Amino acid sequence: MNDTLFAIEHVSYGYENAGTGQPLALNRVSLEVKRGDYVALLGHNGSGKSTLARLLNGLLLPTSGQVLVDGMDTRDADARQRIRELVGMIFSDPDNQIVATLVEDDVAWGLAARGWPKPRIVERVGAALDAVGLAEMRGRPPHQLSGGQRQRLAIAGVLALQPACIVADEPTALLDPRARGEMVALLHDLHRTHGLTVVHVTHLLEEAALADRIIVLQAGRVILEGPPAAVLADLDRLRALRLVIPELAELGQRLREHGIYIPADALSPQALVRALEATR
Amino acid sequence: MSIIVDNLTHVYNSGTPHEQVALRNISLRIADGECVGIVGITGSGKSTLVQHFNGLLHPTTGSVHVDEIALTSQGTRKAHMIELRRRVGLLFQFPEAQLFAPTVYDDVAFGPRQLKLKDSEIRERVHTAMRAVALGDDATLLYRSPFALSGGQRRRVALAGVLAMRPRVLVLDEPSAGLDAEARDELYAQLLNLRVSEGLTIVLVSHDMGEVANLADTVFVLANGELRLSGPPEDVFQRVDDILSCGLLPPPLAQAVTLARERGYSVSPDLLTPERVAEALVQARQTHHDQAIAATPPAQETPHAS
Repeated sequence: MNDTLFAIEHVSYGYENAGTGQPLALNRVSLEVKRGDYVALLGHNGSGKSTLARLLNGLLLPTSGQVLVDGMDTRDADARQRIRELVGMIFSDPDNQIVATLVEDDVAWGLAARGWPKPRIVERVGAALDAVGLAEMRGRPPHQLSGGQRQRLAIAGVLALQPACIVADEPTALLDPRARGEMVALLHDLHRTHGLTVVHVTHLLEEAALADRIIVLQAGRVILEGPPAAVLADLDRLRALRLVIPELAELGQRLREHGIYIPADALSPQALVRALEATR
Repeated sequence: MSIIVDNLTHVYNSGTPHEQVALRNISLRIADGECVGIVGITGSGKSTLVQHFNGLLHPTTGSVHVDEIALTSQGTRKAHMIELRRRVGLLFQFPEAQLFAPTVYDDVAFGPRQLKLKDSEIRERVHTAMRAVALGDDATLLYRSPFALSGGQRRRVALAGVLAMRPRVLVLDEPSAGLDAEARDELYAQLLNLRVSEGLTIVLVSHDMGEVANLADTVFVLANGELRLSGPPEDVFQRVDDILSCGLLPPPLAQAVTLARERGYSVSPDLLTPERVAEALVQARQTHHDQAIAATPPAQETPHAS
């Protein structure tokens, strides 16, 4: 086993018609993600964060440079099946990856397609539905589920393949605030209890603040990288990147100006008040 | 213009197997010049409610009055409907998807042309509307295709098209959805401006409480087709349990204030901006600190310092 899950080396990516002077979506990006990391890819629309996410399991192949997943090159067609099993992806709209008419059939889909024996499928499906809290919904048609539940179903479908990593591309974009919080909590739970590596693509500082490490992209380049408390400390810089500055980030900054030390990554009401208490 | 909703119920596909009650016995009032927020999760009935305000939908039972114009299940006279559509401008979700004309000018002028106004009047209205949405500086913009603009600009062009009809009430359904921070702040600044300069009544529909917190005078919270909460935002946001039962969350800042109060910080629960909350917290700490010192007996009288 290799400690480095993703090694991204000098990767550039240009979409077609790049010849028309369109800038590269990714421009010589180099990164490493270790097994068990929770990494947030933060950036504004068009910063290249979704492109980078799609390069991680070979949905897109680099125009130049290379992406190694557990030592395997995504351009190697023979390795691609194995890479896709290691790295599962979910997107904003779960309906794009829900295929079956019953919840449990949907989770079983990937395994059935690989010709697994039924008893093992049943076992894996049960475990995946438990992990996302949908065990009671197994006999329901997916369209009866709420948006947040359908997103969890999409995650269960990925988990059934027992990946090493989940790449979640704006997984909360279509959810209302409460379902959004539950989805983020689920990803962290999977990271903690199942040791999953998570790459969480987002434009929300509140979500990025909970990661182990934040990578900020702008115009196809990595421009900031580090632990949340460091990356989120410079609000003016993040504002200049056209990111929405949460009101609690502003509150924290103002309290710091008054000499009350609130860490820059305390962006939930609970974390902020806890930090306030700690300094009393 | 005032809007009075009285016992409004709306049933979709009434009398069919797909019958669905979208609104139940809603009663509310929006005063002339007020800015209100209508908040609820997907399916709570908020879009159905506001589509009654300009007669796109008619009540199944109950009534809606926009000033003297009445909407009931009986329908509405054609002359009244025309007047209603003029007075109440409705901006749908993702309104930029409705732009269609070859140039920005033609798009914004489309509504006024339907009113058979003189060309000079139409031109004046287009320019005024474009200035109102802060797109008036670049004259060449008017002769560009709306599809060549950025997302935020396209949304503002759509808003200009509504404003060119000179409505007295502006209804905006999820106006900031999908906009980046900068475009969102600009849109809000323009809405505030319109309210002050034109005295427009503004109805904001949103699933995000934080979004309406700083703009609305009154918030109405819908859940399951019912009106569950109403009042000034600073009052509504304190009713945490009620808000949670509607599937919503109070804005993060209001949550932080509630938590701090639970921990004994004496901060007023009706503060809605980071600046004011920060000041109040600093103040509360200072007071607490002073009291702690005052309450501490002098060191020599402490029998067993641990």
